[in-house]
Parts: sequence; structure tokens; C-alpha cells
Amino acid sequence: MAGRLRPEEISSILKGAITDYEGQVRTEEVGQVLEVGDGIARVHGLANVMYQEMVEFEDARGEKIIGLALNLEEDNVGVIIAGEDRHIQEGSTVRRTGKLASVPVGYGVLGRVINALGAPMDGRGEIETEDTRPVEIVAPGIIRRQPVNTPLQTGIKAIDSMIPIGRGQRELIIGDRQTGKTSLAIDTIINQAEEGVKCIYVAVGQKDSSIAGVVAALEEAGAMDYTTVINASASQSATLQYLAPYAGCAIGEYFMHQGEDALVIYDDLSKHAVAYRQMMLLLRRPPGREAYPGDIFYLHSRLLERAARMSDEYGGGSLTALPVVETKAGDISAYIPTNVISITDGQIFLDVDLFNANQRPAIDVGNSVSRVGSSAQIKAMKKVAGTLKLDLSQYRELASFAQFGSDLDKATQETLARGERLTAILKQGERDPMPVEEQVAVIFGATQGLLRDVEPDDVPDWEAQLRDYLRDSHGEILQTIRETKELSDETADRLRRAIERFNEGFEPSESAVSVSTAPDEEDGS
Amino acid sequence: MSVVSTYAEALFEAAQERGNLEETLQDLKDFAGALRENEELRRFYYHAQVTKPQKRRVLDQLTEGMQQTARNFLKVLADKDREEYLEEILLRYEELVKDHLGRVEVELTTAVELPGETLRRIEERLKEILGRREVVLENRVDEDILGGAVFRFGGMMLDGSVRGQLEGLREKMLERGVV
Repeated sequence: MAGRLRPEEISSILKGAITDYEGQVRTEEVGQVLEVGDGIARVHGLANVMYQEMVEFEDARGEKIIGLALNLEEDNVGVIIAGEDRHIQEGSTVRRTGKLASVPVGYGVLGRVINALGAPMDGRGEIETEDTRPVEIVAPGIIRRQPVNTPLQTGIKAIDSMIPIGRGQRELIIGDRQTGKTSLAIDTIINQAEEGVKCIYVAVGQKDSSIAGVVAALEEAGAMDYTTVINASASQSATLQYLAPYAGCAIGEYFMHQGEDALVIYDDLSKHAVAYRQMMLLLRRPPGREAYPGDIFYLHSRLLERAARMSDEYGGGSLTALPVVETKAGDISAYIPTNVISITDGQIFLDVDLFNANQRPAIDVGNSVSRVGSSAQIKAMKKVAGTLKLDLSQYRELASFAQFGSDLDKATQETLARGERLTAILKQGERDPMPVEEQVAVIFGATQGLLRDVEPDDVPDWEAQLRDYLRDSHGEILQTIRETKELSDETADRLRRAIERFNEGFEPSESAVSVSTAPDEEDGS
Repeated sequence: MSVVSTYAEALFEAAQERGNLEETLQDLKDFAGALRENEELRRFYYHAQVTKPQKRRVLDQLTEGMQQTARNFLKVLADKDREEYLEEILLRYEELVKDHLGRVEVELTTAVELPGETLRRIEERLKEILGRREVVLENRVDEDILGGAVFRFGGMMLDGSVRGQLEGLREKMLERGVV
């Protein structure tokens, strides 16, 4: 709407303004700044201000800066400043706005990059939305909820098969830096294109360059159409970094209350905690463990508690939360990781060693769980992946043991060979989420021993070719799985025969590994 | 109770017993004003390394003409290392005194200077509206407000200025996305 003038609007407003010119005396409550610094101001006056109310500073340049009243004390108010504080002076006027911190919500924010207060950051002009919503809201209670029962397909084989996530669940993504946490989140967003899930990606305390990368990746995949990015980068004030996850949650809740499904990713909550710690220390609240304030647990629990699956009387919408937490040197027993692990319904643990061993996504299956789990898995997936976790843990146990011995009996060799192929089948490229029916087909092949004659190094190739083959020649099998969400014995039979037929003609393309020898000898080598 | 309130209320009670609430307020305000204006005095008063007896002696000489309550108060603050709170305590004390006297100070900003007669009438009217015993009106002239008047008292601001209305109009137009 920028730049477009609507004459009839102007005259109607002017007419209104002229008609009740006399009656217009604005009453405002004001206070004055006692001291200001480090993004914090202490204000005298504002006796009736509410907790978390937005206040407005008038700085030396005459510009208006927003603040948030957080400490209501007997004779002063502690305000955190969301913006540039260097032009605010002692004695500056502060006014109440009477509004709690809120953000614009609605379909107008999709496809946009905004800050924690809903101001556009992508240079595409004003945001047109139908509504605003306070950022802090009490989570829906038990009456308005129902159990999680619909899967949220991430498109990542290792997750959808073994650590399934349901709509309305809170699943933590945890791991060291550079282990692919953000990629996992981005892939999940990309996979929602066909699922009709609205996505919100909240970046807290990250580099602006990485966020630009994320936005570019989403745009390239066509995922920005249904995604909002909230950017509270490292260069923005701690106040905005603190508010960003709540703002993202509020935007997601709007869709949830419309009966739709939404997904919000908080990337990441460790930096969120650090921003909160900074503010609270400057507000002189007493520090506790690791210098975090006493309410750091509540900070995250009240945020994640807002993820919900609404009952059908309340529209049946859902808000899934995927918080991200960064660990230092794999230490998941630090303060913030343990807090968030105990709040969420499970975690996906990403491991540096796996990542370096080229097992990507580097999901440590042994340490990852989903506590809501298999109730949110389609039947077909449940059927094919049922024993996957167990098989893999048996394989890992044997593998560490078999490193020492050279003479292994036939059964052990077979378990090892199977494990290697199962591990290989869980590898997946970045930005390549997979529809669930194809996942089912691929995992079916691996668990049914149809991969026996394929070298572990050729597995990705086998998988890619098989997917093409099934799509081209056996679309009806995939369609059946997609539509019935089940894998009946009959479909399983047809799928097995299709894969066997495919195996006969399978040639690893540009295989640099080995010349194709007799398959029996390759086994377990 | 916070440091500021504790001291302010103690000062209030002490001054009330001696019956010199307003004089004490004026003395302390003068002292605070001097602190703001005089760099040397400010450095001395807030300096942590000046010994207490020294500080007391200097304060004694400086404040000779002041009320006993005000003098004692400054010395107590220095003894307890609470000098930094002086300004805030003063703000709170002022509120207490005004509350007690039923007085309200109103800052009236206009675009042109008002004749004394008009000011008196405004004062009378304000007394009625606010239900206070005493209204102290201070008239400031600020051409930037263009016309009308802005009243400011306590934590309230009543903006009836032309500039305020133009700003309101601007906000309304922005809200509807006209510009």
C-alpha cells in the first residue's frame, strides 16, 4: 500500500478530525528517565504501568523508541529498551501506551521477514494483517487440548522412522555447533509444502549472514510462501532477542486457533537464555546457576507449553515446536540443555563424530527419543520401521565388539552387513526431504534384506534409482501407501516383487568402489 | 521497602515533627541544584575516598543557612554511604510533601504567554477539577506546540495542543495506510 494515496480516505479522516476537533484532548501518563544504559532504563513515575506493557521513549532526536516495563518497583520502573538507546537522556519523557507487547498475526505475515515487534525487515513495505496478538499468552489448558495423533512429516528418514514427531509436539534438536541442527529444521520446513503446515522460523542471536542464507534456501525451495522468518540477530538488542520466540509463538498460535497446523522453530534457545540473562543481570535480579536468573526454567517452559494440539471443539488446530539448543563439546548435562530436555517431549541428538564420519544427518539414534512417539506415525511406517531401532542398536553393540576379532561366525557377519546397510539407508542429503511413502518403500527394502547384494557405499545410489523406478513404473504402489497410510500384506508383496525386479537390473552408476563381483563374496566384507 | 522510600519517609516524618516540611524540601532542592551546577561540589560529594569526618565538616560549613532537618539528613546520607540516592529520595520526598499538603504542581505549556488574569482563572478551575487544596501553576511558553495548551501534573499529561492533534491525525492516517 506504500505510496498509494486514497483521496476519499483522506477527506473522510480530515472531516472526522475537523468535526470533533474540540473534543480531542489526549490524556497520557508520563514518567521521566532516571538513568539509562546497557539497554536498560529506570523510570520515575508511570505509577499505573502494567507488567510487560510497552512504553514509548522520546529521545533527543525526537524519535520514538519502544521499551518494555519489566521491573515494577516501589519507586521506579525498570524498562528494557527495544532499539537504539544512545539518544535517550536522563530526564527524557516516557509515556505509557496501554498496550502489552504484541505482534501482527495472520496470513499477511507469511512470506515475510520481520523483527520481534512485527516490523518488516525485508524491504517489501508494510505488513497487512487482519489482527494483532500479545506475545505473552497463557498456554491452553487441558480442556482445550487433545492427545497428539497426527504425524508431522519432517521428510527425514531417520526421524520419521525412529523418532516420529506429532503435530502439537515439542521436540528438541540438540547438538554441538556445526552438526546440522539448522539444516534439519530447514529441511522440515521445506517438506511442509504439500502438508499444509504454516511455518515460522525464529532466529535468535544469529549472524545476519546465516539468516540471509536460510531465507535464500527457503526461497529457492519455494518454502517462503508459507513461512514467516522472525529475525532477532546478534546485532539487535537483547530485548528483541528475548521477545522473538514469544512473537513467533503468537504468530503460530493464530493459525492454530484458525484450526490450521503450524510449526515454529526456535533457533536457538541457548542464545535466547543468554539474552535473557544479560537483561536480568542488568536489571539487578539475583543470578543463580551459571549466572542465569531464577526464572530461566519458566522462561522456556511457558514458551514451549504453548505448543498444543487443540481439541476438535476448539478447531482441532495444532502448533508444533522444534526448539534448538546448542551444546558445548557434547555436554547435554549443562544447565540450559537439561532444562529444555526436561520440558520437551523428546530430543533429536546430533553427534559431532557421526557428522565427521559422514553419517549425515548426524542423528545419534541411541540418545534420541520421541516421547509422544509412535502414536503419531502412519501405520505403514510403524510396520516397516518397527524393528529398525533395535536392529541398529544390536549392530552398534556388535560393531564395537567386532573391531577386535577377525574370525566372525556367519550369523555375526550377517548382522554386521545388515547394520551397515541400515546405517547407510538413513543417510540423506541436505535440502532433500522425502515423501513418507517413498521412505516406507526404501526402509522396507532395507529391513527386508533386499539390500543384501548392494555394497554399503552404493546404497545412496540404489535408493535414488529405486525411488525413480517406483515413481515411474509403480506409481500405484506409492499412491496406495500414501492414500491408505497402511502397508497391507498385499501391497507389501507387490512392493517386494517390484524391488526384486529393480534389483535385477540395478547397476551402481559411476561406482568407484569395486567392480561388480559375485554378490555372495561381497557380503560382510 | 526500598532504600529510596525508607529514607524519604524517615525524612518526611522527621521534618513533619519539626514542622518544616516545605523549608526542608526547598533547602534540599537548592542543594541538589548546586550539585548539578557545581562540578567541584559534585565530585566532592560523591567521592568515595573523602573520609566521613571530613565530609561532615565540609557539609556543616556549606549548609549553615539550612534547616536542621535538611543538614542532618545530608550528613546521615553521607555516613551511610547513600549519597547516590539523594536525587531519587528527593523526588519521593517531594511527592510525600505534596500529598500531605494537598498541593499539586501543574506545568502549563502554551504557545503564547497568558495574561495573569487568565492564569488565575485556569488555576481556580483546576482546583475544582482536581479537588486539591492548592494548585501551583507554572506557565511555560513553547511556540512549537502551535496553539492550545498542554497540562502536565504528577504522572499525567493532558495534551490539548494543536501539534498534539496534528500528530494524532498523522498516526490515524498511517494506521489506515493512507500515506
